[in-house]
Amino acid sequence: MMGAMLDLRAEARAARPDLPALEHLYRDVRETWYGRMVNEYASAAVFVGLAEQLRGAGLGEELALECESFAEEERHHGILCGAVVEAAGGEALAPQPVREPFPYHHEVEPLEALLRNLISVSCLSETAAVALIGAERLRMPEGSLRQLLTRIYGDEVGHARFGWQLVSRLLPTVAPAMRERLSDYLALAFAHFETYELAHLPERYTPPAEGDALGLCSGSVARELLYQTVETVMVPGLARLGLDAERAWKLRHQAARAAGPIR
Amino acid sequence: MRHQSNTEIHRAALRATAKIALSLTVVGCAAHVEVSGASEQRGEGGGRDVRATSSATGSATSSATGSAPTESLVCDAAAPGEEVTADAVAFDCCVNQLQAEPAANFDAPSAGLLACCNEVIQQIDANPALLADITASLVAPVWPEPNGPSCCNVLGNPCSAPCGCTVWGPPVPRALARRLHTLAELEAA
Repeated sequence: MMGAMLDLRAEARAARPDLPALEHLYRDVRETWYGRMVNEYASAAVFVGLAEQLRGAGLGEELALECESFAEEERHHGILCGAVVEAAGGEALAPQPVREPFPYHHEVEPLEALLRNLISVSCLSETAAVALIGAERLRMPEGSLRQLLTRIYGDEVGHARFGWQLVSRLLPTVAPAMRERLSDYLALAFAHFETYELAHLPERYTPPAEGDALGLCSGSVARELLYQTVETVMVPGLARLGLDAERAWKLRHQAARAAGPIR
Repeated sequence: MRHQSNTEIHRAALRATAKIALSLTVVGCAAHVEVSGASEQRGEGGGRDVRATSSATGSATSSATGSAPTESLVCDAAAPGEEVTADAVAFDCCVNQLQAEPAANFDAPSAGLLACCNEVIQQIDANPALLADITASLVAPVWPEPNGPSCCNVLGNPCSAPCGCTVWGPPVPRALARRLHTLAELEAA
């Protein structure tokens, strides 16, 4: 008996990049890019949720449509990552990923709920993605895999920029009390973000140097960059917008303990 | 380019990232790729390697509802997305549960199976020595060979043992089941 499957084989096979002939690393390539395929494709749901929130907050159809285009880009990234799996001898076929439902935060007004999620998605997660993919791209030699990665990178830049710009436009218009509550939420968002990122950056995975050409990255090096991104980009960036970001980052573990389980 | 050190590469990647977050005056420009800009970045950053240590505990129980579970073990396992702490009782319970599950149940996993997979994988991530206590194929990486019941496969994207960096797409933002604590309350606690 098979459950619902994510089957990207046909589209992925049509987009297979030429990989360097490093067959001894192809198993790692399949594992890494398979995970990316599932992760990217599943993350489309986050932008679908954001688009719905944008409409609910009355911020206009144009922004909602832009967010929906991001969802489509994430699905396309899933296909591109699947193309690498196929190029390395695997199959772009996976069980449908299981994810938590998108939170609409009905306990607060729509604008505050939207800002919680925009900050989480664009200012934290997508900003980290830009740094991590950017570094991986710099390590990768020219070729079709780098072109594929560049396509993904360019889209992720757009997803991060969208959120930073919208948050910077909206935050000055909200009451100080809402900004304070968003700083409170930010501590929890930081904790959630850190837990998720570390779970996907295994510290003990260190590929050989030639793995750079295949998009294999060291978990410990990536973790170092992750913390640098938090401390030199996210915290100062959010502080400039009026959030108590440094304090929120310091209190993230306490916030997670106080919040308890997700459901 | 490939001979750059990690420090140089990280600096360049951070410069490009900082442009997005810290240069918000360029409103409305289209997404583009630019990694060699000259904007100044802030300090080097910490580069620490610290695991999140939240003590939040999961609440999902494992009671297989898939086809023909061999036992009705109930384990205190954390559902995917919840944080896992070291818990030998939950680990042993889940290992027993998973090893008793028919392979077909991994194709249509119940909530209990998912929670046990999550519990086992995250505990192993925190303490790799636990690998010695289980059937290795249960936590075969996300691309199991040969295809068999694997928690990694079931969870879709766990990246437990040898799997590389896979964290790109944003996770679902954090929902709140309880009231939100203020930063002042957290400091006072």
